[in-house]
Order: sequence, then C-alpha cells, then structure tokens
Amino acid sequence: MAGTGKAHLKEKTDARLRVEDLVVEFQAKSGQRVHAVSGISFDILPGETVGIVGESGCGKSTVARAVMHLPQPTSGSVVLDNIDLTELSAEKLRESRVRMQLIFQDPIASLNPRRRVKDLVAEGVSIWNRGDDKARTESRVRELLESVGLDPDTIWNRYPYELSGGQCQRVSIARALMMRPELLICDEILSSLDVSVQSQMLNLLKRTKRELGLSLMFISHDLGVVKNISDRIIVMYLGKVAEVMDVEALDRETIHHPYTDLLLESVPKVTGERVFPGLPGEVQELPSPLNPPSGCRFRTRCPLATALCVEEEPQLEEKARGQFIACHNVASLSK
Amino acid sequence: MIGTNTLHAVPADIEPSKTLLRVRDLSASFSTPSGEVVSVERVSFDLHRGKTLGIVGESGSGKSVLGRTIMGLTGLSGNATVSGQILFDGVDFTNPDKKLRSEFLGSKIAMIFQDPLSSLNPVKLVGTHVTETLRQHDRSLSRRDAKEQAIGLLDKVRIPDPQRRFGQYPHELSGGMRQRVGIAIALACSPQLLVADEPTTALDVTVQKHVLDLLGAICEEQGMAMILVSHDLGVVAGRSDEVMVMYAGRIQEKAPASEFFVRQYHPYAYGLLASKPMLDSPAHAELLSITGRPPDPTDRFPGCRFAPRCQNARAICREQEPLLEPVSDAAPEHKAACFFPIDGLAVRTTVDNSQEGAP
Repeated sequence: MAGTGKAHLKEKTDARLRVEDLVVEFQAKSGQRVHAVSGISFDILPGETVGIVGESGCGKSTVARAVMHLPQPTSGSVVLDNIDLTELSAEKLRESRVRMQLIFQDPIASLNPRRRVKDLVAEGVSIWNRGDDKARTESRVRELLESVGLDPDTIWNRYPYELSGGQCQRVSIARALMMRPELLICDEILSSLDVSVQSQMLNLLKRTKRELGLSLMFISHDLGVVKNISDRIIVMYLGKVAEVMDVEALDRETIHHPYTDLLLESVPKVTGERVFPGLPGEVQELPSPLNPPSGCRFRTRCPLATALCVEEEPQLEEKARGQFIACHNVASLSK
Repeated sequence: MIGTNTLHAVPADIEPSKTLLRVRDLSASFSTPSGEVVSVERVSFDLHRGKTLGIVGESGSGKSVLGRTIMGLTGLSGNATVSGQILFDGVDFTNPDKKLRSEFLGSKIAMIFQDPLSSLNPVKLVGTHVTETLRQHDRSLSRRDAKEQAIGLLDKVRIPDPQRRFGQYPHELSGGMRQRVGIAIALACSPQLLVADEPTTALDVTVQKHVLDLLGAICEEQGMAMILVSHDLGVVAGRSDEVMVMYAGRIQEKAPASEFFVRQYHPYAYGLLASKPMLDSPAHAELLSITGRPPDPTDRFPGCRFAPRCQNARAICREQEPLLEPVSDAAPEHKAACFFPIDGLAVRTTVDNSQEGAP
C-alpha cells in the first residue's frame, strides 16, 4: 500500500484495542507536513500478539506513540476496551493510559539513572497510590523481578549503569508489568541486545504474555523475531498498511504484497551455500514522507506498478484466509 | 612486542601465492584501570586470496578488535599490547611502523566500519573523501583525473546520480548511501583485503541485502579477499567461504561455511544458531536460551571461557583450555575448541522430532 481499508478488522466487541483511521502528521520547517502515519486501522484481541514490521521511517514507532497519545494523533480513533481515548479529558486519559505500558528500544536510556532498581519498578505504583501497603508493594516487586529472571537480592539496590543491556530490559519489563497492564507495547525492545540475550527475552515475553493473558503490540524490523512471537502481522510502508496476515502466512512461498516480498527476499537464508548474486541494480530508497507518492505509496519501488497505481490507492482486501493485501496487482501474482 | 615471531617462522611448504593473510597466535590486550583486558587471545588462521572469512561473535567477543589489529590499528592506542604474528602477503604486519602502515592501508588493506556517518568527515564533500584516498596513493594523479575516477567509483557502488552526490556532504545522504561511499573509499586503490566490520548493522534489511550483494560481487570481480565481521550469523551465511565463531577473545569453532551451517560441534556455536529466531523456522518455534552472560574480560579464570555457561561442562573444562582441533577425521578443516563436542545436526534433529511429537 499501500493503502487503507478495514476489511481486516475483527468484531468490534472482541477487540481489546481498536485503532481506526489513525493519522499522525508533524509540522516541518518549511510549512510542509510530515505524513508519518496516514490512515491506518488495526485491532488487537485479548491475549493476542500483533507484530508490526517495516523499514525505518515507515511510521511503526509513531503508531505506538499515537496509541499511547504521546503525542495525541492528528485524527482517528484509539479505542481501548470500548473507551475512545481520543475523546477523553486529559485526566481521564491519564487514568486509561496506565492500562497500556510502553517499553522502549534503548534499555539503559529509558531508565532514570539516579534511581535504584527497586524504586524504578515500584515507581508507577507509588505515583498512583496503589501501593499504600509498603510491604505488599515490596513483595510484588520481588515477585516480578524473579519472574523476569533477575535475582531480587543482588539487584535490589543497584543503579541502571551497573546492569547490562539485557538486565535493564528485564527491569523495564518488570516495571511495565507492575501496573498490571492489559496491553504491552514493545517498540524494538530486542534490537540492541545480543542474540543469546534476545532469545532469553523472547521466551520470557511469550511466557509472561501467556500467564497474564496480555495483549502485545510488538514492533520490530526483524522478520524472524516477529514471526517467532506474533499471532498476526501488520506490514507497514510509508505510513500505510501494505498487508495484514496470520503469522503462518509469513514465509517465502505464500503470495504476498510486493513490498512484503521485497522484505522477505532481503532476509538472508541461513545456509552455508555461497550466493553470487552479481552486481545489484540501483537502489530504490524510501520516498520522503514530506511528499509521499500519489495512489499506492509503494509504486515507486514496485516491480508490478501500473498506471492505475498512480491514480488510485488500493484497499486492503482478503486475498486468502486471514491474509489481507492492499495491492491492485496481487491477483495477477503467481509463484 | 613479545618474541613469538621466531616460534612461527613461515614454513617453506606454504605457497606464498595462495595465502594472502597468515595470522599466528595473535593476542591483543589493553591495560585498563580495572585490570588487563585480553580482547583477542592466541588467534591463528589463514586467509587465501579472493576468499571471504566470516567472523561471528556477540558484543565483547573480540571480533572487532581482531579486525582492527589486522589493520595495524590496535597498537596505536598507548595502553594496547599486540603479540603473535600477522603476515600479509609475506610481510610482517604485526606491529607496523608508521611508514609501513601508511604504505599498506588503503592500497593493500582497507576497512569499512559499522557507522558510516561517524567514519566520514562531516565538513568534507563526499567526493573529497574518495579523491583524497586516490591522490594519497598516487601523487601524480591530477585533480581532474581523480574526480573522474571518484565518480566512476561512486557509480560502481551503485550510487544513483554520482555527479551530483560527489558535491554533497555526508549528512545529505541516507545511511545506505553513506555506507556505499565508505565502500567506494575502501575500493579506491583496489586493495587485496577488505576488512568489513559490521558493515550492515545500522541498515535496513533491504539495504543490507543490497550492500552485501555489492560487496560479494566486487570481491568476486576483483579477486579481493574479505573479512566479514558481524554479530549476525545471517549476514555471514551465504557470503563466506569460511566461518569463525569467537567468544570472549578466543576462536571456539572454525569451519568451511558449507559445513558449519549444517553441523556445529561447539555448544556455543550451536547455541548461537539455535537461539536465533529465523524466518524459515515455523512460527512460535521454541528458542534455545544460552543462560547467563559473557565473562568479565578482566577475569582470567582458567579453562574454557564458555564453561560457566555451558551445560556440558565438566571438571576438566574449568581446569584446562581446550585447543582448536579437528573434531572428526572426515572433516579435518572443521575445528572446535571443546573437550566434549556435540553434534549440532543430531541434536537439532532430536529436538525437532520431540517437538513434532508434542501435543
């Protein structure tokens, strides 16, 4: 699409989070507007993990922030458990926001360097006065630290700089879970970690999600990671949704949106056979979000683009069971 | 410099024409306030002309220091000690003096770095970066000819509209473009060896493929050898002739790529592969977790560096250091430093079968 459309949305009453026609634009210097997110819709069911993939600059992090209202989206609605957050007063929004917790990419920078681990984890509860009983708060902090694989006794009085990246990310997860959220938003939380630590964190997230019945919005540029954790996957391109699919469809054989195909082809096959692809052609880079292409935004890089793609924006259509693709030409694709 | 050179004189039976780089017992250490950090420990390998060696390891494994040491750059920091031997095309390049270094760097060995923005000078034009390398090594080259060659190089690394890009500053280019400029600079004097240290880590997956394809094609065309350093086995897969896994400064496993990706002998090498979530694995596949984390580099405990995290470790692993040796007679080139090597292929097959049997 990349395009718009809501064919992929589930029943309204089923969804924990339902985002419709979300638009986020920023004012640029020269009076131009940055079209970061241009009308995307998606939903997340209770206990479901939705993965969002795309290249840098496609707007995936902006979506995460817009759901949290950091800042408020330009237009569109964000409905959490049948409450439309876009219509709430600032105070009510603050209350609702507790039910969603956001974890960031840089594990060390996202923790206050002057606070100890015990206070970092308990901070949310102390702000909301939910922890009047000090002993109970403390035992919950211990319990959570243990559940994310940290030893409370060794780590209790440490500062973030004394911890490794993986440990900080565990503290961030414990801190987010402290508020008993319904929705956990993870924005590239594994990107700065080593492979062996990455797999520890993935297993931890999967287990935690199962135990607490959490909904998870998992943003990553790594298709392998997204395939491992997600139930449904949204592929974003330049502020639009290109494809929505059940995780089983994410492989090299299934017919996809041409952009998804481009991503899939780019993921190296982990085999020992040498590939000699020859000199590549010229690079096609992501167009500027200041002035996105008309019609289908992917058309400038698309091998299948036709005149229709210039004029008309494709809508998401169900091309196979559980697989929605926004492309005029995908029916003509065959593998 | 420690007198290890005499221990490893070049044997007569090695054809000098085939081996481009010969590294023997190479160690690099740094004295720091918290103690001596041994970043690279007794590393030995050969690299043949035109071949690509992939070096894989997590952060702190010493892979980047190894690359920089081969470039003769480690010795530049006052607190570093380099011992062992590096023979480049028969010339001792272990602790090169200034003259030898400036003669070799650029023209025989070149390097590209992970962060293309910080490795380019922000106040110099893109083109100037390339022409200064060209003119440094060929003083007789005129400005006009240098510019022409530079534009040719930018075109070669597939930068669209090279004429215009020549006159732009690095900040005006995207990350992928900058990395291509880095490659153009490295290629300027047709080096025989390219050390690529995490060349695609900062790039998107589509751009990564493009840059790796480019590097592969240029190596093939120019008969250039490459050392491809990455934390990601996926980057090295399909792009290397040989793979070397490093952990805590030591080589743990070394094998032809075609064998390594089929079967790993070292539990760490196996773990690295089995803990990587892959596109070609089924959804929600259970990942192996390597528990714990790498050792403190100042902690010089005896035995195998991986023993504290290894499930197969026994008493001997904590006492003696395993040597990098062939594991089976069938594959003499496939070496692992482990007293109790596993058969990665067999382990994986068992795991897969038990998962299929599970409800």
